[in-house]
Amino acid sequence: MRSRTFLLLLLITAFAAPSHSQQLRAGAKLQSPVPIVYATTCLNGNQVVGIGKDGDVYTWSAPFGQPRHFHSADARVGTVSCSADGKWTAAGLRNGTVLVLNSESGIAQRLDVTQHDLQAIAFSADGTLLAVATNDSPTQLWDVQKGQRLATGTTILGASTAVAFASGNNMYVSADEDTTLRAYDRSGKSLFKTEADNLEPFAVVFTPDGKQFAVAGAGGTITLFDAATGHKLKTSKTNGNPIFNLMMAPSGGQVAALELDDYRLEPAAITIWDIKSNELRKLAVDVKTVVGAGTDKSNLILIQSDGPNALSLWTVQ
Amino acid sequence: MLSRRDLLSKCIALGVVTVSSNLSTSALASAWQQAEAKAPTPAAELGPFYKRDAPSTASLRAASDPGIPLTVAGLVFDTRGEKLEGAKVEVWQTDHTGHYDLKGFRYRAALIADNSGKYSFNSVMPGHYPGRVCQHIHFAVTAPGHQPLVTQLYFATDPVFEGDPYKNYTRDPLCRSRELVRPVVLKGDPDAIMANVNFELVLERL
Repeated sequence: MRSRTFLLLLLITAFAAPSHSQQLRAGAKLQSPVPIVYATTCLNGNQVVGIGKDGDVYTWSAPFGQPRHFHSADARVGTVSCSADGKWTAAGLRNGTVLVLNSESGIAQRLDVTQHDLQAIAFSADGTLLAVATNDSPTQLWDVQKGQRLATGTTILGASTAVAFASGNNMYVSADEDTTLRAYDRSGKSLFKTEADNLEPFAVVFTPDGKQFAVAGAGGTITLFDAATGHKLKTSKTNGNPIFNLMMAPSGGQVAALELDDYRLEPAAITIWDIKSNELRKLAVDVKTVVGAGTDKSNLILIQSDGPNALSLWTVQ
Repeated sequence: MLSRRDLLSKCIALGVVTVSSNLSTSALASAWQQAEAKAPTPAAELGPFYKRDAPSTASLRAASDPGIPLTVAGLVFDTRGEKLEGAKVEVWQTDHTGHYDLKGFRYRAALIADNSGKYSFNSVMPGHYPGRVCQHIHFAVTAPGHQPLVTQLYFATDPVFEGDPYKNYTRDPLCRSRELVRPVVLKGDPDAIMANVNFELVLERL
């Protein structure tokens, strides 16, 4: 029915002026030649990578002048991710190919992952491995340098919706359509499987120390798991909306969640879950203008469209 | 293992051979398999609102539920044409207004094909909703020794197709096969219409 990429593209629906509140502190402003439909940060917030309405990749580096531009002649880019050191960007094309881009020299590797759309891409912390969630098969693990598929996961039904690597490079977790979360080591060998609830998970994110991971999906709650055992540690309350994306704060104490309304599948709210207090608060922001989220060294960052040719970064207080 | 007599009688029943046939057992078996071979049901996306552990009921519709009453039935086969008794058929859909039940299990069920491979359930015609073009019902079918099948059923009466589903099925970008658009038999008075759909499911062997 949906790909996560498609849902992210829904975020372009409006370009209203951003709302201001005491919850958000204004940061850098970025100029863009085209409207940006999705963006995230890399390199402790010193780099922003986005997908334009034209299906191309735009990358800004601090102090955020003009972006570098990458156009693929093969197909539009539907999902994008960058390595922790900012050297590599993985662009998932709508034809199922992943292009690994080097900031200096352009295309460094071409991975023929599938022939369908891609759901999510995640680099290992050292940038040597890529885990790719696809629309038509379980998550695949690739060796970036060799351009080789190392392993394909398993599901009982369907494919995978999201994937995340732990910071210690030792494992990744795939959120699968059969409602199961499957953990694999860096060779693709199964470690354990677990479940958040009996609905589909759409997002997974690790804490910065790699010891825990958070999952959310159609059930609308966020669940924290122990990454060593797969045991459930804590579950948030819910606003009743499915959650389609998560971003972990650098402190590991807060998680930002993008909620979509379950009928129109349009952005409904961005909420912050404080893990320790279990408080769930909605950010006072025009969610239809938010095109993505990321982190800097110590904070969550929201990336907001500020008209068709500009982005604003907002620090979540 | 089928005997030559079994094969011969099956082939005769199918019109593959005549009564006076002097074909060998292997030739009969081959003829029978060719006659009964079925193409696998085309796959479709699973998500996003699949829910595990649905109840095993064939009555998804309560008596007071609004919407056009709908009965869906069919046989579950493998690609050799053998009926798959005991296949698990999970179905889920929206209500007649296009809403999925995420909190509970309304319009969700897990059915088991009977000893003739048949499944059936009563429901309502699903509604349209903004994130999706066509009315549809999701299916996930599993049977030991077979590839799981994830697919969707569409309705030839859907107004989106404007009376020509075989030409217009691509109006829903997620509807990739015209075979998944099934004829709808409407019965009853104009103010009490009931819809019936036959949807055969064919799984590939592992």
